[in-house]
Amino acid sequence: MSRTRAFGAWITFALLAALFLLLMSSTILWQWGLRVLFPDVRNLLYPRADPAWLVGEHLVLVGVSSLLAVVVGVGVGVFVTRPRGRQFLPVAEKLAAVVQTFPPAAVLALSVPALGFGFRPTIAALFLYSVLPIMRNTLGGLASVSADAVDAARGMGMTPAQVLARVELPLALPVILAGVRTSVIVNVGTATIGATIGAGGLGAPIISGLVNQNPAFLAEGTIIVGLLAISIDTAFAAVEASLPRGARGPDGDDHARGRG
Amino acid sequence: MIEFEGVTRLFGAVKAVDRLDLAIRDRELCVLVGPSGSGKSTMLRMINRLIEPTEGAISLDGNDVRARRPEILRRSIGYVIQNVGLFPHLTVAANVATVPQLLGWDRSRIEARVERMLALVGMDPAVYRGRYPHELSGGEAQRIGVARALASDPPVILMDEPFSAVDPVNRSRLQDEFLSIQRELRKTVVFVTHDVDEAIRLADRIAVVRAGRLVQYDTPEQILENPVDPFVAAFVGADRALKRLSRFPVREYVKPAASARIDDEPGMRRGGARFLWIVDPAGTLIGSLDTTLAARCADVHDCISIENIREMAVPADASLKEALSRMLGTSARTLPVVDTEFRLLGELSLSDVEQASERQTGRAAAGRP
Amino acid sequence: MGERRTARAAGIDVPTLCFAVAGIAAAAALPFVRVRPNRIADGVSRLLAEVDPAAAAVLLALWGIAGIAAIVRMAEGVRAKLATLVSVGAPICVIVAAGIVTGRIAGTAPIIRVSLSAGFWATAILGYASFFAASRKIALEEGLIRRVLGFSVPVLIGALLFSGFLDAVSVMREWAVQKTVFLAETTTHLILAGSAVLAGCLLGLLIGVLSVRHLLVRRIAFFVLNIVQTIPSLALFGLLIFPLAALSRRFPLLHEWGISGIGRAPAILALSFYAMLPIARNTFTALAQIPESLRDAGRGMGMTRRQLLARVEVPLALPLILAGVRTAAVQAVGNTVVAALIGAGGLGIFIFQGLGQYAADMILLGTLPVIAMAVIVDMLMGGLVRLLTPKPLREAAA
Repeated sequence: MSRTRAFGAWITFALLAALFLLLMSSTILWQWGLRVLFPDVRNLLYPRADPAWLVGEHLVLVGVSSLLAVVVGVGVGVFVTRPRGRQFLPVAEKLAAVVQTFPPAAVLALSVPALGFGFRPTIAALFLYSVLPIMRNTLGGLASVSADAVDAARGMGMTPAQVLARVELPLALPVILAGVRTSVIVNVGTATIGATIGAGGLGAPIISGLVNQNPAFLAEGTIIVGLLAISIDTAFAAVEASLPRGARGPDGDDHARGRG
Repeated sequence: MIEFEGVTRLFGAVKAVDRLDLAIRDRELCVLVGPSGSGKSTMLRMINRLIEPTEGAISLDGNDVRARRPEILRRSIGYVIQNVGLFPHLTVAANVATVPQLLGWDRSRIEARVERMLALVGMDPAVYRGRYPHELSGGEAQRIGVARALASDPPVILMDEPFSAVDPVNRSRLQDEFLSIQRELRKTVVFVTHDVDEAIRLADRIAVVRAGRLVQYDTPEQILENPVDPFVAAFVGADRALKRLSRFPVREYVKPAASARIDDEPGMRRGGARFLWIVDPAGTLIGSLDTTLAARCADVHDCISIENIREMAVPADASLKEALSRMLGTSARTLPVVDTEFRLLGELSLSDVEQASERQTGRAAAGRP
Repeated sequence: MGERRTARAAGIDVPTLCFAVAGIAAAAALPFVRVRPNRIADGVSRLLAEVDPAAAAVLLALWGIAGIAAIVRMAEGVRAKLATLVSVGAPICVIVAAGIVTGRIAGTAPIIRVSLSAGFWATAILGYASFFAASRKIALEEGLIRRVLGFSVPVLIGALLFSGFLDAVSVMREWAVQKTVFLAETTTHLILAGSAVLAGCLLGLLIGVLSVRHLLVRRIAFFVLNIVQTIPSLALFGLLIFPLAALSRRFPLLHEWGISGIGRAPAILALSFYAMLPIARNTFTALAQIPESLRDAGRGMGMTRRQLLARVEVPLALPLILAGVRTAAVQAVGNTVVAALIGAGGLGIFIFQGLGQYAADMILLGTLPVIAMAVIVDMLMGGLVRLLTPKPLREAAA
């Protein structure tokens, strides 16, 4: 059953990706489409960069910050659950809980007095905002791993590193992945606002469209970024569905014990 | 040989294990039994260094267990726990292969070993190797747990209440199967349980533990016959004599029985023995016949009693305790003994049971197993 | 295990030591204020030791005490109390110093802007983190002390703000200039977010309840809501402009009512959509996870459908539903910031105008209240959830 679900998810993603690539491949398609929608507007395409370039900027913003956030977030999450780091666990959890309530746009805005305008400060702000949810999900995922499986693993002679790599992380993966998925999607949204602090990306045509009252720019930006976000989300859904069924624990059963 | 010398373990101010001196012999199944919180699990987990003693030393074949890195030590000791701890994200085959993989065996050797282990615990490899733990029942999961512990052929196996989380029917089946595996493999097994009946059933030697101290370390017969103090006596229970019977398989006490085939009319009327067991041509037990009544029946088949035959027939692998229970339940003083196909093997009478019990009492009093 | 935790002697407390060391570094090396000749110019940074040596000395002493307490062997309870006192004292020290310093430097010249720099913020954050870490270890019987100390800093900040002590700080100067607009936009922000949550509640609850019984509703509603949630808020605001503008052109009546392409209409619409998902999802989960055996027992005892709902299902489902409302509310406060970009108003106005003018004070004037609002809403809703959770479930969850 889950195989068909995974298959379906991948097909959906493939279709979306194909549509996306099609749209990105030709500006002529855009010119034509926007002309049909907005016959009165003179400037149809956002001039500073063509759609593909904007998508690229956006992907770099999201990709770099998310990658860093995963490395740091999972790393810290693992550290505070090891014997050496356990004393930092309450602080880490509380910090994550508090910062999670901050609006992402506010965090982005705060980065300007601190770091300035542009691409890199935006990546820094995006990174800072996504680290904590990922760390939180890492903590949650590791906590959900069956203690019996860990005990058995230690008892059988795995080193702590082997227990982490072969048992804890694979079993925590679904929860961690869910956290990464949410974090990346929020990142795509916040990166859109990043256009206001000079980061470029797909927010630029949207902002420009709003400021200059140009509906064509607005349409260009919103449609592309919307499709991008949905495509990325579908990709994650496909990956999640492809995880081996046995690993997906947290629906109440103790899988390490059998149905019993 | 596993030796505990002066081992103590403190948790705060509490002595979980208190100056333990214990020597477990090779190839024996030693059961640590005691009430909850008596420290038996702690003792077990000190053997493979999941817990370290506060004082004292544990040695394995003369070598202090602390001499090697704990991971290396544990790869040479099998470990089975109550909730099994199978890895949910790995198949049954991958679970069983875990320690061989850690030891670096090559793939073909691992695969062959996995097949053998699954067969050993009575699970068809072709069916089960690709299954995931969440598809298994509790009993099946624990069988895999045992297979996993035996996979690298360790000389020592540690088992911490392995059958306690399983329902009673499956539990006794698992105990039987484990006994037969142990008979074949003869590992050194350290087995923790709080169930006295389980201890008596399985153990070569029992260590009765209380509040972290060893109270009595002896064969089950000795413990039943000569409990060293009122605690042990109370712990094994007032039904010690009955418990003792659970260690004697019917198979060793069965006597030949007079029987006749159902199609053998003259044989049935012949007399000689008062009671005859009636079997079918294949040897399967059908019922019993009182030959004095048979004389009065026109058709002898009408006089064959099949009432209660299912309750009366005791399997050869069952214990004398079960036989006695059946005798009490059916008011029969002699039971037919059957094999797994329900074929008649012989019979067992109440006096046979009594004699067996007395003989054992005498031997226990003389200090012999 | 038989001994009270406060009496046990403990080894080195690494987290407290880390905070103490970081605190000393922040106090000594990070700039405390930035003095700017006017609201847009760049200005110079000053260390705390330069502008207020006495405060610097006090601050260093406090962190020093915490550091020593972390290393020296002592009873855990004593250490915890010391660390907690330091963690409260340090922020108070810098806040008071901030008031005094800014007053002294900028008090006479209204154009000069003195803004609080990394040193100030770092001390405040370290103080908060350290407070959390240390006060956990104070024994439960003395929890009152913990609460009093914990509230002391926010209360002090509030008192100082209102009394005008901190008026010379750059943000407050900005506020003084923008007062009327600020109050108007804050009100707008609350109205937008509040309406969104309200609409989200009404529709979200409805969708959640219907989804339990009707698979089709569940599939369609959650499919749509999930897509909406995935789309960036700015894009959704933008997309809604088109149909609303078209509608208001078609029906001039709508235009008279103020519903047009930009402004509040698309904002509230989009914000409500966003608020629906957490509420609908939590309602569905909360109701679906009630074991059928409970309903069975209730019906068996003779409860009507309505009694079952009121006495069994709602109390059990309420905590989770409220948790969903909490999430929706906090997110709404955040999403409303973006609404400023499509002309809906709200505190985002200050943020984006400040970004446009590169006036840090204006940015802060927008971000700090928004963050405070989000945190307060979260705390209030959290308290509400706890209050309305039936007591045994509360204990089971704790």
